[in-house]
Amino acid sequence: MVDGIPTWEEVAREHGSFLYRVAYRLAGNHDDAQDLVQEALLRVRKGLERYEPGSLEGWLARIVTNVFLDDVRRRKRRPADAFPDDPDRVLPESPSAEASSSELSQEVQDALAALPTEFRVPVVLCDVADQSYEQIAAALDIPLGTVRSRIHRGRRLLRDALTDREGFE
Amino acid sequence: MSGTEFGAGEMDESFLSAYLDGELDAVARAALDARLAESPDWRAELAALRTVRDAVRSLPLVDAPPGFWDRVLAPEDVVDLAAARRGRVWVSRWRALAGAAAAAAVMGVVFVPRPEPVQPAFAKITQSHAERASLGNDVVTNLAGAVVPVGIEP
Repeated sequence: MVDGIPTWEEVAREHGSFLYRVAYRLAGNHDDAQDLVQEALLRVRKGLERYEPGSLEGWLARIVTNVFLDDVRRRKRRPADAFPDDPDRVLPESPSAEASSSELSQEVQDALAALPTEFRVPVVLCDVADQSYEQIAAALDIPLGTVRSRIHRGRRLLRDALTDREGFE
Repeated sequence: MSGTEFGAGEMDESFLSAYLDGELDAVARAALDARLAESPDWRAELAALRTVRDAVRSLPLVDAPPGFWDRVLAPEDVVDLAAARRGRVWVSRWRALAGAAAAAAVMGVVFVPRPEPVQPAFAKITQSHAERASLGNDVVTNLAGAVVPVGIEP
């Protein structure tokens, strides 16, 4: 680390898991999450000289979000490349009276992945990346009030999707 | 978030999420507390939102598949996104650049103009010399025009 600025390797080693976690919740599957992390790390490498010591994870969350949104825009231009369903997803064969926590987690993940991007991104930044509304507003270049309403609408959509699921109250 | 930005009377349910996230200042929070105290519907909504938020926040920590970080952290082994997406092929950008340079070198060998190989027209040269020599009555070199050089194609 030089003058409070970590090296690229330090960022990858010490904050890679955070980066991957955010990428996975944004993308909804491991293949795309890996692509997002790789591209994000390339941008980190190029941008480290301009990094001003502060919230490193906030900076990383912003980068991986931008990579994700760039990818969403690219895929919209080429619909054949739309984000696929999670190939790792294992759906329960039938509803179980005692839904395991892993099944519930998968259902939450599925509901999250099904959210429209404009709601999923702020929810992930808030609840996975632990970013403040102000940080989210800066990352997405939207007003604070819009952040608040999108997070709220995203959570309501999640609630609607999960209300009837076993194990979810 | 500024509590003075929105008066208590202008609060909508979206403030409930901000309330949960600790994003309201003291004034807005007090106003929302008062609203919650008088509204069972808002309390129910708040409880539902809290459940959803907690469910997302308690999602298990996921990490990349085995080997991913080893590849990413390998020296100079920053993966080309497009290449990776096409076929999950890990390609170093530096290696790709080296490959491009090698390709350019090959192209250079193939396409860089080279001078034509010198193919002296020996027969013409000797003939010309013979003609010049004959003008000078050089008996010996005057015979050169009749010579066919062995092993050299005209």
